[in-house]
Amino acid sequence: MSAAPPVAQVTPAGTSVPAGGRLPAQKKSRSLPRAIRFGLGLIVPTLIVGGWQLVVSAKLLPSALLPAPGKVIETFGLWLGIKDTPQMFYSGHLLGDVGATSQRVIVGFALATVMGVVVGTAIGVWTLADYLLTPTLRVLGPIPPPTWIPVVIVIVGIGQSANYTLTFLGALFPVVASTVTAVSGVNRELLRAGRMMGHGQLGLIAQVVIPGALPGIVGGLRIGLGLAWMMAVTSEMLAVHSGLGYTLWNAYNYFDYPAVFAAMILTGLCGLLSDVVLQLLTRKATEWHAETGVRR
Amino acid sequence: MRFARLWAAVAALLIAGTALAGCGSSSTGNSDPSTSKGTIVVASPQCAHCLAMTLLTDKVPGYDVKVEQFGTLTGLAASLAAGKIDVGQIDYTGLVSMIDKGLPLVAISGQVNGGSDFVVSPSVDLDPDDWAAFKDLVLQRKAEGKKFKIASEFGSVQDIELRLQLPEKGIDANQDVEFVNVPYQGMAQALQNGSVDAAIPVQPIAATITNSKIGVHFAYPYDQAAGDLTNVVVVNKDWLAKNPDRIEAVMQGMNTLVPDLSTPQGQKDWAAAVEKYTGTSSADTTTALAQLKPDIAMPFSQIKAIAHAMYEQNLISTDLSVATLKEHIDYGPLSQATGKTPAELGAGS
Repeated sequence: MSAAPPVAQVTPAGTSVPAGGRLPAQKKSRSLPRAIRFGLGLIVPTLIVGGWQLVVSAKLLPSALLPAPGKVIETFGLWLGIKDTPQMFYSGHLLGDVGATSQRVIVGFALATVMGVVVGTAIGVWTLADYLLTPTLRVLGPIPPPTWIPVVIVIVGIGQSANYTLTFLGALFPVVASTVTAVSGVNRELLRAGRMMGHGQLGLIAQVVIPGALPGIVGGLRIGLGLAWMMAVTSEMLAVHSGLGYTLWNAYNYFDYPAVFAAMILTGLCGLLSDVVLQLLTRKATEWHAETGVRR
Repeated sequence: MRFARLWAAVAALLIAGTALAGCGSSSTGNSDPSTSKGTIVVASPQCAHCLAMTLLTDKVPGYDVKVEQFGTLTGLAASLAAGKIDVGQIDYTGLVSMIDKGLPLVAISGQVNGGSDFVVSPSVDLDPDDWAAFKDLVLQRKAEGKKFKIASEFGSVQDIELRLQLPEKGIDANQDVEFVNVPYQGMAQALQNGSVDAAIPVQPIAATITNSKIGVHFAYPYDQAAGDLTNVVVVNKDWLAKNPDRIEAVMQGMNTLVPDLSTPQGQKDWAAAVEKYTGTSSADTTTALAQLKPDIAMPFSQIKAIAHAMYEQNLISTDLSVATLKEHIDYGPLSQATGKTPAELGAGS
């Protein structure tokens, strides 16, 4: 038996990828060793920290307002519990704080993902849903999530449920918006092909529309995940006793800027890590899209 | 398409209208520009006490006064430390935090004290000031595994006052009750839906809560070492050293403003400022102002008590010494403006 000849693939976007699966340009960029890619990613943060240290050394601002990087690292030690003195309200609580906020992000973001994709798909597919929901979403979307705090207290009270709700609200709107755009942009040829294969409305949505829209949806999920972190940390100013935001807001209230900076950095790192996890989880389903992209 | 155009038109109108309405958000003095020696930028947050600072505009001889409103005390303090504003009104816990962090600020005058109100939910059956019954209730709730929940804005003077007050009544603030961090603006809602049993708001929010019967006054938390200290006026250390004339003018202004706040006309002007900036009703404003005590003194022993309490709560990193605190409190300009001795203005150890 002779091997089958290589065949060009058709992606859900309706474009074709040459036999072998990858465009030469992508192959070239992906061939960079992991260490070099990691090194490239460190250049900008290193410049930022270097600039930060320069500004501190030049004493352009009071050190209490702009602490040196070294002071922030010391505060990490205090927060982690490696350093004993001075004893602050956050001493030794770092892992617990990361765990508490992560839990709030996961619950809020998961709820926003389910609701956002369902509502976004409905709007993208059905005109009636569009007319019914879009005006409301356009009004609600620009409202800064922290201003929901009093409303959320009235509706769900205070405690974890309020944090979950606020995190959910923070992540929801970008997920809906990106889903609407991605679903609306699914190639009509694919829909026609799906119908010819005998799919009904729901079958088309599940088998053609969602897979075809997934790259756009994932983009929205990544934005939503960032906002979920932002909102989880913001919501922790309210009625909690742990979390990155709890530490950040209390430190902010007491002018403990090294702790504020440490909490900001740690929030960013947690956001980065969760984004990497999201990319890994969705990579398989969106690989076809990456391979038809223009990036070199 | 027509639908989209309609939306675009409505959005454009809204944005344009808002942009026009948003012009001019700070007040300026009305002194004669030809005789003005310059402008002094004064900043304050937006509590009822704080809004008294807006009345300083025509009371600083020889200078125009521009008053900036800040949403948060932290933003105000950071601007002051960074030299972006000249004179700031903050609270005493803010002052202590800033001294602990080595910020170059100096307190130069008291302003308005009081304004804290420990309110309980109407469902909590307690007579005002019946601390014995309160203690019984707290301990009973603790034994049942449902700690008595108190909404408090962490970091505020009100928070510290209550944490100092409870031990005076035989209640462990860390073990017997649960302090829940709720911003002032969320306290009414938290009481309303039963998320908390009590709250310690500031005026005029406290007045809104009690007048609307969402909460019931229980006690004023002043029976402790820090008393009712609330607001203080501070300047940047450099600015203090380099601007003796301006400092003298500001102190003369404070010496006119603070006594004036207790007069009928002063109360009327103050109420107008509170209603204008916070949207509080006239009835609530009247209740709020009745709880505020203008006081230009800076009682050192009470400031020290606040600093010690904050250290005990792990909110600041050092138990500030008398010498350190004194470096950041200057009674000189106030003494000169009022003709009183530093001891009469609260200096001591």
